[in-house]
Amino acid sequence: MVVSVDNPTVAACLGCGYALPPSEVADENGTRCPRCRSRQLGKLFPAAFRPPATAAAPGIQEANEAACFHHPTKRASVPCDHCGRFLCSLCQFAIGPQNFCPACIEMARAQANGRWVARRMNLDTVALATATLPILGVWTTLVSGPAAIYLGLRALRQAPGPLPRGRWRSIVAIALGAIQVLIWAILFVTAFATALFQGGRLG
Amino acid sequence: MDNLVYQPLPGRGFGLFRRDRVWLAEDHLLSVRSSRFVDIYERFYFRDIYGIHFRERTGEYWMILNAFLIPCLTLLALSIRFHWGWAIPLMPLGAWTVAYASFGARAECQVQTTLGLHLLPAISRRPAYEALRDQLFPKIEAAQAELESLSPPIVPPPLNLAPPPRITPVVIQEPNQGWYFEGAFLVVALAAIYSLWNQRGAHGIVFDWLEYGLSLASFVMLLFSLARAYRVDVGGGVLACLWSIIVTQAIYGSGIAIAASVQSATPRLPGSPSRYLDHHPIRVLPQLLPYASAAEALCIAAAVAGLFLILARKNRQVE
Repeated sequence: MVVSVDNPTVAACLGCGYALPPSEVADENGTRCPRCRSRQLGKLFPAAFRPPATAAAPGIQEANEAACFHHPTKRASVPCDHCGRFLCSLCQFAIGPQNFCPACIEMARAQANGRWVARRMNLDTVALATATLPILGVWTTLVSGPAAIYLGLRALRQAPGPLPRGRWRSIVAIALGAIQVLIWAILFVTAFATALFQGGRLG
Repeated sequence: MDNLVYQPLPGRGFGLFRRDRVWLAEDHLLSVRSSRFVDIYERFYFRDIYGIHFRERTGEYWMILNAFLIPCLTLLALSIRFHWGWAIPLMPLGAWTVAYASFGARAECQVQTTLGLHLLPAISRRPAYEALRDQLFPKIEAAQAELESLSPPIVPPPLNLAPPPRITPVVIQEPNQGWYFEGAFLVVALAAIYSLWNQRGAHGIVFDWLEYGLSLASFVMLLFSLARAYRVDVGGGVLACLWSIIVTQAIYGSGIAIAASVQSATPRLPGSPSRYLDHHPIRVLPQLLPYASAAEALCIAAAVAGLFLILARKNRQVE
């Protein structure tokens, strides 16, 4: 069920767009669309009926009014909750109960703050995959072992995301990578020693 | 701008390279779409949410498919004897059936904001939506409390977005198709037990009647399921039943024909199709085989045509 922005009292089926009365959709068991027969549930909240925000910020009417930091001719409506600069309604980013200016949001995104990040590479998972999957092709561990250690160490230093995430993947990846490197080192040393020993005996 | 504490909500999209979750914070909802290596976050602040919409897809079409396949595979297994190979097509059907019976039909949940609709891939079943509703809706209502006076009038204006339906939709309570799937599994299980028993050499009129009974039961269940699927329209239901008869006979006949060709091409071995075909007209009169194949092809063509007729009829009803 989708509410029409132009006419919020008319809803449409999510699947086929058939007109549905919102009062029936908001029922506990919802309603079935007569066209596609899929069951529709949902609820519209008061924000859907809020009048659209004005496109232009109001200008300064009196001399003692505070002006926007970015637009000196516009009247300030709120201060930024991070830096304190006055903001007009154009510069105001209302996120939850707080208001921020564009510069603070951009800075927070650049710092990969967990609250603002929109995309995050899980380096610990990449490290774990690098440590485990190449085991199938034995020779590939010659490269993937050190790579897993490097990625695991990078994952341990990676900035935290918005969600809680354990560190066991990084630790397991480093351990597996270390084991692979160790095995290869033992094999090389053994092979080298054998060759040296045989060469010396033969000589 | 510090990190927030998130509370996980029920419901998750799960796959080899997919892991979707929904998390609840103090002032917003966080939808996470993940390929396991990369997470993509979408935040929906309570003050900005216009509505939460949930659409439960109809499971009837899949139910029809299962209604055909499970009894037909059972009939095929009965006609050319049971073999563990039959479990290969039956297993995914069974897994789907168990998932459907346990969690309900698949669904989609979308959040509407001023930008449009945003899919919440983690909320794909009704129980997950109900948990979301119980935990999320009060928070949104509290966040938008000062906007309460902007709520719409209770009586909606006339609906003009689409033409009115030609038939009166039947108000249906929550579908409960579990009985059908349980019955289908029972038939398959009985068929398997019977076939295993029969492979040991136990023949007799009791088992023959059991075989006929199982076939009849699965066929009746097929008809009932189709009648339920097309309960809105009696004519469509009758047409669907006719279609089901044609398809069932076509598949059953194809199985017999395949078994006959296999038997004629290979020496008779223990466990190979033999007993049933000894009394089958194709076995008795092998010269009928080409005609039988042509008739089966005709049946399949009729079935496909019937399917299109049903779909066309359903489309006409709603336009």
